[in-house]
Amino acid sequence: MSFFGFETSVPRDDKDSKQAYAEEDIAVYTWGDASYDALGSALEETGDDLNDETFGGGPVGKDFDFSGATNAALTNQPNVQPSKPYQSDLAPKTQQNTSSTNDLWKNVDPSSAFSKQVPTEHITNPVHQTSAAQRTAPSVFAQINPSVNPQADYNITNLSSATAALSLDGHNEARPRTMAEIEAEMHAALREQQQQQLISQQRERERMQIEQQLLMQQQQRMMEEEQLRMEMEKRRLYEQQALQDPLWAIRQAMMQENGMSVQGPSDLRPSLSANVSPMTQNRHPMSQIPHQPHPPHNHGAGNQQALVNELLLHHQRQQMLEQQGHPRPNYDISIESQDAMAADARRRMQEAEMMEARHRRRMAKIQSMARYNDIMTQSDKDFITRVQVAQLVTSDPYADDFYAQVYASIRQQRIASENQVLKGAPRQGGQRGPHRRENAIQRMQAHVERIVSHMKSREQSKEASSHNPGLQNVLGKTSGRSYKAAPRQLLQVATASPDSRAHHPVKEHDSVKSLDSHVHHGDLPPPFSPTEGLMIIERLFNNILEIEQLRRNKPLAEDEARMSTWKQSLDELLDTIWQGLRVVGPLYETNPHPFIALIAPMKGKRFIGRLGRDLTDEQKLMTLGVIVNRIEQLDVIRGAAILDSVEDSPARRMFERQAGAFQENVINQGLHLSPSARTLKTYTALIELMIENLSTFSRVVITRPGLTLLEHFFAEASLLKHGLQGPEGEHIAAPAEDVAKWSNLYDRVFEHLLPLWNIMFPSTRILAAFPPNSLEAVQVSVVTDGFDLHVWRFLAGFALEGTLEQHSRLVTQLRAKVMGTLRMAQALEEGKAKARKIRNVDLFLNALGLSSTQILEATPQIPI
Amino acid sequence: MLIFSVFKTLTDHTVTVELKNDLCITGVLKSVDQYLNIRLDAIKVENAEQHPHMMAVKNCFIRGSVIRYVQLPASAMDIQLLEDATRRESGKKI
Repeated sequence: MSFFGFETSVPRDDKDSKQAYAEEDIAVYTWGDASYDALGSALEETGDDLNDETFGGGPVGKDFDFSGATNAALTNQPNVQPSKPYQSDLAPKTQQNTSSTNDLWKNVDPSSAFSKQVPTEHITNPVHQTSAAQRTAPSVFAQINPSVNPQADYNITNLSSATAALSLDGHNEARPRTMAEIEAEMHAALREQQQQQLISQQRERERMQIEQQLLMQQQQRMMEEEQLRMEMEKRRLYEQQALQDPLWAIRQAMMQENGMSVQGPSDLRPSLSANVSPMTQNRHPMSQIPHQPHPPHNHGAGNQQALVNELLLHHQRQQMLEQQGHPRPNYDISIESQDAMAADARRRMQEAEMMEARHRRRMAKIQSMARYNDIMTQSDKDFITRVQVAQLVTSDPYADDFYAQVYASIRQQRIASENQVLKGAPRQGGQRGPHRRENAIQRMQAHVERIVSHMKSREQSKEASSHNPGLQNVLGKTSGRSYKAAPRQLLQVATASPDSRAHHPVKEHDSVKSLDSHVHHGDLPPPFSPTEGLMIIERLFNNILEIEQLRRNKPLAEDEARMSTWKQSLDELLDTIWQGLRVVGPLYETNPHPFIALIAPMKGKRFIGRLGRDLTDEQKLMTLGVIVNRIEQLDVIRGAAILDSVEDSPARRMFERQAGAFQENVINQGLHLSPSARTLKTYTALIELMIENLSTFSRVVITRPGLTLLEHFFAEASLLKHGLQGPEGEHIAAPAEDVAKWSNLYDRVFEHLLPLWNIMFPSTRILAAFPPNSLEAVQVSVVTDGFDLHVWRFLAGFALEGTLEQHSRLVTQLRAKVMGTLRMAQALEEGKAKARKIRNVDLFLNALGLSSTQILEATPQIPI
Repeated sequence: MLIFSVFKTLTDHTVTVELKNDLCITGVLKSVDQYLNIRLDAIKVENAEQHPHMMAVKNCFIRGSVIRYVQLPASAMDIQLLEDATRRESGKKI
């Protein structure tokens, strides 16, 4: 029977809860005495997890409900104020809290020994205490007070007075503070706390976050330490706070009360209120209402808020204490090392986070790509590969990828030759494993090779089957592709075979109009037009490419049958080229000679240079013979007049290049004789051939290309005259009759050249246009000195072979030139130009055993 | 295929690619395919101040059809071989 009609019977677990409380008391009593065993630190102080255990969360029994009967009589009372139950609810809990606080105090209390003797249920069990208080009209402290000393008495009295003011107000009218004062104080304190919390909230949260991270992550040990420290700190703070401010305990109790008020059984309050209210309500009807800091519906939030506030407060106080330099007992890790550990932990955390992020990114990438896994079947992949390979690879890499293949092979050869040079020092560092990319390329190459060989074998099998026409298609047509599959060619252009006209060396000019009439000399027609000449050269180039291709595919020496056919085809090709060069044939039918016409373009000269090693010495000699015989027809001789000028022009530069190419590609490379063919007799014959037609010789020799050619022959001959170095270093003297012939020829050449020396110098020809000894002439001569060089050089070489008598005749002939040059050198200021002039003259004079210094010293001012 | 073949030998050489939009890009040739699409690395644009949008670009892929000219490095070219290759190429067509 209850006021609201709820069940008011005694709960069954009442005895159990009683038992639990009794057991808990043992720990409370042993804490803090001399034989303190640190069990106090094991107490759970922070959270409210065990509040049920502490405050009795279970249904509270009614065995103390002495006023129940009275209430039952008073059920007709009309209104019960809603706040009253809380008041009565609050009272026992506050009482309990106070009593536990009281327990804490007992460690400094001299009367602690006595307090142990106090019956357990009287002090700690709030329900019983309340009931006891109700039973024995004064408070429980009345039992304690008589035995304690004044100091302890004051403390306890103070506390108990506050508690009593909350719960049993009526008993302590003599207290200095009224309920309203205490309430106001508590509210102010709360507000203050909240303000402080707001100010420090940000900082505290960061700190808490860090600490929480520390706790949650790798620092398990630190977490434990931290917890322990916090507990210790809190407990100490609790003591300290209680010592400094007795009301602090009350505030704590208030906050805990706020948190706990919702936890009580819902049916208890009305029944309690019904039970308790008559006593309290009658005394202070309205004063209890402001006790509620929060409205009842806020209690859930208030509970959390209180928890947070409590925690924050602890941190705050703890910081404060740290700043004040309070020593922290039972915590021997210094702040510095703690900070260092925190920083280290933070750093490690960041690293771990970065690793984690990287791993996540990678996994996400793989995940995103994995969406497309197995979309293509293996046959699809093969198909794609075939398409790609078909575009890139053929069975003959030289056909489609000629440049890259040959370039690579040439470079390989170069590298190989370099490696041969460096073979003494084998490389050691470069032996790395095959690169990933290289691996892929190798795999691809192997794959391609497989495909190509497969295709080849199929082709071969097809061919093999077609070798037996009688059996073909007897089992049905197997050919997959009919002629219809191939698109019909709409436009069929008849292409002439490149070699179709190659075997008609000289007749080609018949079909061609003589477009180059400006090179028409005499009545003779040109062998072919320049365009046709270029086409012939192109065909020859194709032939030489075939030769090179043939050389690349040279069969092994063991395979004699294939070797012989290979040799045969090579010889055929060489013969084709030789025929195509048109060296052999009538010398005087055309002007110029077909071969001379062929080497007129730069391309022709380069071709001869390229051909070089493929011509036999006999062929080379024949070719040289044609060149010397028809030397006047050479483009480099015919157009040499352009060199007799100091003006620079594209045509002149082109001619210089042509002249250089003729000497370099044709004479030095293409027609360079092998040592066996290089005999004194050969060159004697060539020079004889040159001077055969004297008028031509005098015209040719004053040109630079002509003189260079003569110089080439002359240098070879004068070298060979002194004999050869044999294979074993022995001296092989030139045959006596050849030397005699050569001496004879030299004399003839000397006689022929003697009147030509002066005119041979380009400077003589060029300076003739200027007034002698004028400033202009001197300036021009500076340029022409470069042109004169090759003449001075040849003159020096030529003079070396001569006799003394010939020397004196040379000096007589060239005295004017030498003196003129030296005079101009004297007119010049010191510098490169002057030095060059003197050097040129000295080339010749030194060959005769003279020097320009003798002349210059003898005649400081050379007369005109 | 001839030009493709030539470009294959020019990988890791510096080339200048002139595009049809007059952009002129110099860079190291990394790869080329049969369409003459070109991949360049470490690129530099001529008249960089006129093309500020290219300043941050370090490498690029150029579609072959937008290329007007490619300036080849003379040192990496074998002229005679190139001539031969063109001869072969023209010889195939005849």
